[in-house]
Amino acid sequence: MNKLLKADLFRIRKSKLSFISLILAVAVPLFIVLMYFGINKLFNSDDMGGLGFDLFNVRTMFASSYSLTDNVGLVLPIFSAIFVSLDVTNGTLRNKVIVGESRTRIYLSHLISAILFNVLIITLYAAFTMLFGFIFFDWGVELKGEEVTRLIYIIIIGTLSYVYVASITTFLSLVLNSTAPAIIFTVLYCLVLGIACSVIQLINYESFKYLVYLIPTFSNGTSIIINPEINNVMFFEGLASLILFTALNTVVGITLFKKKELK
Amino acid sequence: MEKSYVLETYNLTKKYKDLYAVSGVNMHIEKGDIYGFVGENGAGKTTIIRLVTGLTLPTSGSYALFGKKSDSKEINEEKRKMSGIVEAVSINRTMNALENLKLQCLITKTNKTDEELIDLIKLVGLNYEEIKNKKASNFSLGMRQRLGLAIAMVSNPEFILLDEPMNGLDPQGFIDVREIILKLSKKGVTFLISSHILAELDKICNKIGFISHGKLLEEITIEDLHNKSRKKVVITLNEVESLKDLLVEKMGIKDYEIDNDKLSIYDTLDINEVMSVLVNNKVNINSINEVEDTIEDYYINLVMRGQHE
Repeated sequence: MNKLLKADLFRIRKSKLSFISLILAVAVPLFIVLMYFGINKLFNSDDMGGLGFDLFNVRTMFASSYSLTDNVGLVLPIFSAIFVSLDVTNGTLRNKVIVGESRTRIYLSHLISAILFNVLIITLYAAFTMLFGFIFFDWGVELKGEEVTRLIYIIIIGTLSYVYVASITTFLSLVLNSTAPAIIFTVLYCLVLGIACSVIQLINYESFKYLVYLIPTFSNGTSIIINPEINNVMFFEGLASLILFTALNTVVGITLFKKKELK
Repeated sequence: MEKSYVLETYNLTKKYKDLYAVSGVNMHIEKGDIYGFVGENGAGKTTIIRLVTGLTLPTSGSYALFGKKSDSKEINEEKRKMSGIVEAVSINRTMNALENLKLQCLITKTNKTDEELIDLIKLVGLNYEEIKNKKASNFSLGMRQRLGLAIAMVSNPEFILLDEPMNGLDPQGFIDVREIILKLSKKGVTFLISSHILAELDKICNKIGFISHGKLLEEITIEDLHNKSRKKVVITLNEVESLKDLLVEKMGIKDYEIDNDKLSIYDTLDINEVMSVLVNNKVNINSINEVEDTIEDYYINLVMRGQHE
């Protein structure tokens, strides 16, 4: 599979979208931090107290940088869907099948390359958000002890959310056999997931916490910082749910892809 | 001694709902063969190629590649010796020609230097200097076809499947592709070629498989095909009906066809005898030739015979 992965990464590397993604991963955090800074200057940050957490600190900005419905979070599924489905629509996927590559390997190679792309860009995006954030704001609370654990939880859960999204992207792109529907369905799915989770969490996280078993992205950076007490159960349940749903997508995806008539 | 085949199919069948796209096909391709696939649109040529390449799964039946059965574990290993163009050319349109070949090198784990890849680009008739900075999306259909051929050749395969390789090519392209195929064939590469350009198949193939409505009607070597082909005398003139009546009366012709201003006589005739009948009866003709059935004639005849049976 190593050679397939190299080939898929070569395609991604040669694509203009990769270059655009790298620019976005640097430019968008700068824009967002400057926007937060401007809003903070214009309005009194106490006015935003109704949210239940302070908006104008690096902690909040960093946690929300992993959101599926924000900026780069919304762009990543589109780009990775394009990478995967172009292999199908260009017919280059046929070249792999003809020379004897198994469909399981082809699927896994696409999945891994989509994961690597998503994780690289979202990590850069979060890192630059933190970097630029610290120029204008502080972390928000003292960054030690439990807060460090919370930071690690945000990074792990946030990153795994994009691993899960990569599994959705790969699934839809390879099973639907077409670029446009793959992009539309991936984006719709991520939007619905993201918006539903955010709304529910803002209303009352505790009452809906069992939704984590149905919605793998339910436990995310925002839910981690909303709760005043660090919640290990929430983290591990979120983690398990993400891993389980990613595995499930992959198994179902490979099964369907193996039976698929390839264009 | 039992023949060893590069490709052998056993009752290969593909059914879509109620339609048999391919029905019980048993075909045999030997090493070094240039096997031409002849059939009408929708006859099942591409479906067979898709089945053999694994792009589509058969409803029933199987095949063996280099002696390994399609359900064996070693089949993928054998497929690595294969490559091809199936339906449309498979190229990454956002990449240039060299990058496309590099991508295929990665997929097939082929070690080739840039110089070797550039030589391959030149071999298929692409002007490297002109296209080196051009994305494949800006290529003409013929250029894409040539690049597709280069991609198919990059891993030095032993068996190449080409589905309509002449599509979009200009006359020079026909000659180039023909020369490449013949050159590789001399090196022992086996080909399965499906094409609508039957005259071209006649020039390069040593074996032909005739297919109609999903069924393989006949597999025949070009040599046998020419031996079996009917000879005919073709006369073109304006008054074709009256000439037919004359030849029926004077020479007793029975097996003939009329197509506009053309009278084709399949009875064994001496062309000189025909000409003396024409001269004696003062018949003005445009031309008279003694010709052999083409692959197309042979195919039509085969299909007609199949329909009558």
